[in-house]
Amino acid sequence: MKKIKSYDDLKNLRDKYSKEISSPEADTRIIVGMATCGIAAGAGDVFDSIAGEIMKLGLENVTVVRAGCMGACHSEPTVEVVIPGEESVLYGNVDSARAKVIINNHIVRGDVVKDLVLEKKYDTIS
Amino acid sequence: MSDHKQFRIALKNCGVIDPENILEYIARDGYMALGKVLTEMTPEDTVATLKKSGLRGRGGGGFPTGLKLEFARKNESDRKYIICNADEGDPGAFMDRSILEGDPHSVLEAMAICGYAIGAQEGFIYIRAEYPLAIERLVIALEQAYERGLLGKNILGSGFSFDIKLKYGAGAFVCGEETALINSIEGLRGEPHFKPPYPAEKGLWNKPTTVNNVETLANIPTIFNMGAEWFAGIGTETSKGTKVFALAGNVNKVGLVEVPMGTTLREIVFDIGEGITEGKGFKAVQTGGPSGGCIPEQFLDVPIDYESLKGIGSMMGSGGMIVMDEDTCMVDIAKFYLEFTTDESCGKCTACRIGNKRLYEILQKITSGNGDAEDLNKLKELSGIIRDTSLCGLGQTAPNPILSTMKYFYDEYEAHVFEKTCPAGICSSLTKYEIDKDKCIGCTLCAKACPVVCIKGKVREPHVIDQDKCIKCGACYKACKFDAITKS
Repeated sequence: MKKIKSYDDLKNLRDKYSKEISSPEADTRIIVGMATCGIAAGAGDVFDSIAGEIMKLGLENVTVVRAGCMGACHSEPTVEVVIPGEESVLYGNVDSARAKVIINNHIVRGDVVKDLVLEKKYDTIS
Repeated sequence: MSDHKQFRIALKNCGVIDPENILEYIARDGYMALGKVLTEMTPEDTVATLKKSGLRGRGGGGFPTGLKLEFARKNESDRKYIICNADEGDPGAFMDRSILEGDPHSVLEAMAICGYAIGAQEGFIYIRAEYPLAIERLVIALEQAYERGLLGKNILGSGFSFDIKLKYGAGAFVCGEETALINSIEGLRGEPHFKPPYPAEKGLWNKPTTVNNVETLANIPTIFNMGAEWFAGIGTETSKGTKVFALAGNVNKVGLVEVPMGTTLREIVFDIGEGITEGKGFKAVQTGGPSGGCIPEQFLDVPIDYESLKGIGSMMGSGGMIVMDEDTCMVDIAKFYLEFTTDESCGKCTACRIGNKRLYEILQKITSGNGDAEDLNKLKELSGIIRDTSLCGLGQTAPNPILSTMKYFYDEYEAHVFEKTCPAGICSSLTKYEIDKDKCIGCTLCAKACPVVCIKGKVREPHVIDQDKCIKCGACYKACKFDAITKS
């Protein structure tokens, strides 16, 4: 990995990656809440199930991300689907089977799985 | 801004970025605050910005962070240290773990900023070994930060160098106290010592040291990115910014919440937490862990900040928030916390080591139905002595759960002592289950549920509980479908 040698270098790197993430051509991100709490609730299986289904269906431009805690302990495991240019969707109480439904309905066909949607009740600084 | 009650600063990246990929952190302005501080600001400016922001310690004490750094900055020395206190130990609290697991770089970045501010080149993260995933992610984050040159020698070509090492704690609660924590890093017994000298003067290896909590640090990069005025614009007169709480207990939506200071307990419990489970009534909310207190319903509308919580007999603490419903016995709760502090006392001060043990024994006596009026006086008197004569926060605050429950729920103590009953039906020695002969239809469900087989009776005839054998587990009470079993 290349060292970042100056503040300007850092700014350039930031600009490059933030653009990549926010561009309309960016990958769809499927974020799995995988802090200790999520893993204890079965997020590991959910992650494997999502990754397996993406492989099986040969989906391109989809990235699965292991993130930390989203705070919704009451509905672990949680999965957030971020499609560029669309409002992100947060799912709760996901298990391996439901994860496959989310991939097939939401990612493949664009139908949000309404029964599993959690309302996102917080604002985050940019 | 929307009408959401929660606003995330410390948790801004948690559940959003991949904590094992430094580029995701950088894409969301990661290390920009460090870059700005190192290239555009003097250490004095850095301290001044934090002072102006009004940021106070999130570990519970609430000491102004900028001031703490200024003290360490002013004490001249060849070596200084920054310590991140990640020895999170309050029962039910997991704010720091979540930050370290979800956004480890924010803590590393903030430590480097603090290092620059006071003139330190080395930092330690004191983290409990019981947090394996947090440790794993910190190790990866450190590796990537070093590879990118964001830690180590000559960071971003500024000439400033900063190293961070991890130090694992063995799970002693008292090591969350800064002087005990420093002892532990030095390889000594985890025991606190007298302050002054404060760590800012003589800390790790007798060098000026600043100890900051994980959540405090996680706020720092945003303060520099958004500006001190912006941060100071959030919260109350004396407490700026937000606070993360681990909402737990008898509440519908348990979880990790971050709210602006000044939010009321009612908003947290009833709006964010969506009320009490099973539609039961609210009784109290416990904040501040074993050092805090129980807050009754009449204070639910108090805006939360450091001063207001202290004013009503509790404290901010690190952010554990346990909601209790109407079926909670407050004497039992006090006993639970005393058992915890008795276990965790390091034993250095007699008052804490022996005094808390005595408090616990008195509570045991009361909850088993053997308490008398004198015990209630003893609880109060001994609590005062322990508070006044213990060296560190653990001992000084250990009686708080008793004092606050006695203040707001004295009738429950009286019921245990004078009427020998537990109003909530929690204290098993004081609880009696009986079968109402008129209501019992002899379905035998209770007899089948009883684990000690002490319910006798023929089918279709009223049953009877053998009180000598009954262990008061309540299994029959739950099993009965005809409300024939009474609890008193």
